[in-house]
Amino acid sequence: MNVLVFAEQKSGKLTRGAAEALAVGRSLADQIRGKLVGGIFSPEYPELVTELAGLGADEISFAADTQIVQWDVAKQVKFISEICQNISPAYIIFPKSDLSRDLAPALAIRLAGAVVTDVLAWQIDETGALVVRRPLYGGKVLASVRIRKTPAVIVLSPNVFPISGHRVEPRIHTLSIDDSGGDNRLRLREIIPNSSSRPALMEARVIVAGGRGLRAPENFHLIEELADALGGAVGASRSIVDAGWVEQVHQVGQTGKSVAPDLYIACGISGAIQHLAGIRAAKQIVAINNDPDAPIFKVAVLGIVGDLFEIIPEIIRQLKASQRA
Amino acid sequence: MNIIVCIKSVPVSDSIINITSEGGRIDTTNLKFDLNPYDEYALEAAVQLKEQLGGNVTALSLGPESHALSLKRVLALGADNLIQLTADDETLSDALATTQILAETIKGLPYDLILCGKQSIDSGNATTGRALAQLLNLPCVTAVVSLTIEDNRVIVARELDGQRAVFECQLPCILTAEKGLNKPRYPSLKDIMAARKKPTSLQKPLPAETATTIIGYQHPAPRQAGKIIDNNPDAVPELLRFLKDSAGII
Repeated sequence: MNVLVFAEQKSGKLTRGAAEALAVGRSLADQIRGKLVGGIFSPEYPELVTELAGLGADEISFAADTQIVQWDVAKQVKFISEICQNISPAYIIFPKSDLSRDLAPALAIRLAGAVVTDVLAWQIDETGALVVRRPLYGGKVLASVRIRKTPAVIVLSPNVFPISGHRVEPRIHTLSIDDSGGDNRLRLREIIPNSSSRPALMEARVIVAGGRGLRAPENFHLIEELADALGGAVGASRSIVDAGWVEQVHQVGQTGKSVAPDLYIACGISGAIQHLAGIRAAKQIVAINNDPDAPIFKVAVLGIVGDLFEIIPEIIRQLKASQRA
Repeated sequence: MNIIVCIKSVPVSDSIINITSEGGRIDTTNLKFDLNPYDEYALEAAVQLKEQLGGNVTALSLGPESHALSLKRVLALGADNLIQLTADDETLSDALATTQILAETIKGLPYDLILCGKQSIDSGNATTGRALAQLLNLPCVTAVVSLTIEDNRVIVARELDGQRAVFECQLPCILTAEKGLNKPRYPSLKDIMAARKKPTSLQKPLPAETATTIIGYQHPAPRQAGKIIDNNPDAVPELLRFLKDSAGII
């Protein structure tokens, strides 16, 4: 039984999620005594082969077609199913991303298999079946799910599994995808680039988020400035998104994004239950709030009770001073 | 234009979720259910298109029979009829089995457009729309934040790796709604009265094969509260030390 990992890349570098997925794929392949195959597009980046080899792939399947573009789900599903025909994987592992949200379910249907998303932990049980743990209700509950059917498509939660290196000499297969795989009913009209240089919420190691405690939309710049000082992304609570202060893409919580940064700094966010569900996977939480009874302090490793209008500028000032020193 | 909106009734987002004492089930006795928030955006988009172009909006749900009451709200929000499908708990917990059942029902209905929420806030798989598209061989764009119709095509935008991508897609197609697609309406008293006369049906479709079984539930380990300090001259230096030593950020 083999394992296929979809090694997502951006501009010629494997994503962090892809490296995490390869680490999981390596130990899963070892447990079920199979091969680990890394599947990847973009032949224009030969250095990706070296990177994949360093992460333990026994084989690498390359798409030789440079016309495959990221949004073309039909074509990519076709490519991955062709790899699957060759290696018959029991498990196909994806990192969670905008792309895998489209690829994983489509592939599971195409292969008449199973799909489980947001996986936080896994083990092979006594019957040899894969049992995974995944969140329900935005992370308020964890479910253990036994997968009874293969091939199974597994989407991993980000920033949960450690990256590990295993150098092997992989065999490389180059697959050629013809043009018939695309869906001509769907056409990309334009890509409007993000004017902000900040990292995306789902990829950020640090997120600075603001809530009602900011009092008015014009004060949100404090959050942006602290995020910039730390090289982080900007998040927001549901209430200020609903009030129109900040765009929805920044919303963190059960009806926004469930985030998993190394550090989450909540400023003027009380910590409603749906917000706490969305930050459960953060490694560390810091809170700044003027209400000592705010629920956010119950989950914060460090909390400062006080006026964020004094504290945030002071943090930025001292950060800049220490960077200059 | 015939539009099908796939909807689900879920515990409201401020719910505390309890597990039965033996750990085998979610205790639903005290939960308040309502329409999945993302489905509300999908429904509003459908109703706006119907108001603009004419046609019919069918709301289609799959869930326990007990959800009927919370689902009927969609009729006041502008759906013309409601089809409620039911299945057993094991089927309902399997992402693809539920999609297979929805697809079989949809095959018997007229449609130009199928709308779903981007994901449910209970099981949160975010797979239904895309898997439906694969089963019905329809083009699909997920998590759309804008939607207009030109001739027989939809023009939609979605977020893609922090950028905004604009697609045009031929009808019939499947779209899943992201928050921000529109502002769902509050039904008027007239809407609520009119909803009473709209047709609803309860169907028990054929079961679908499941690939997964939930074998247990647990709560995540609670986070330990750490150190809480009042804002004094030492507070910010302590935070910076934490960022440096414990978090390794600076």
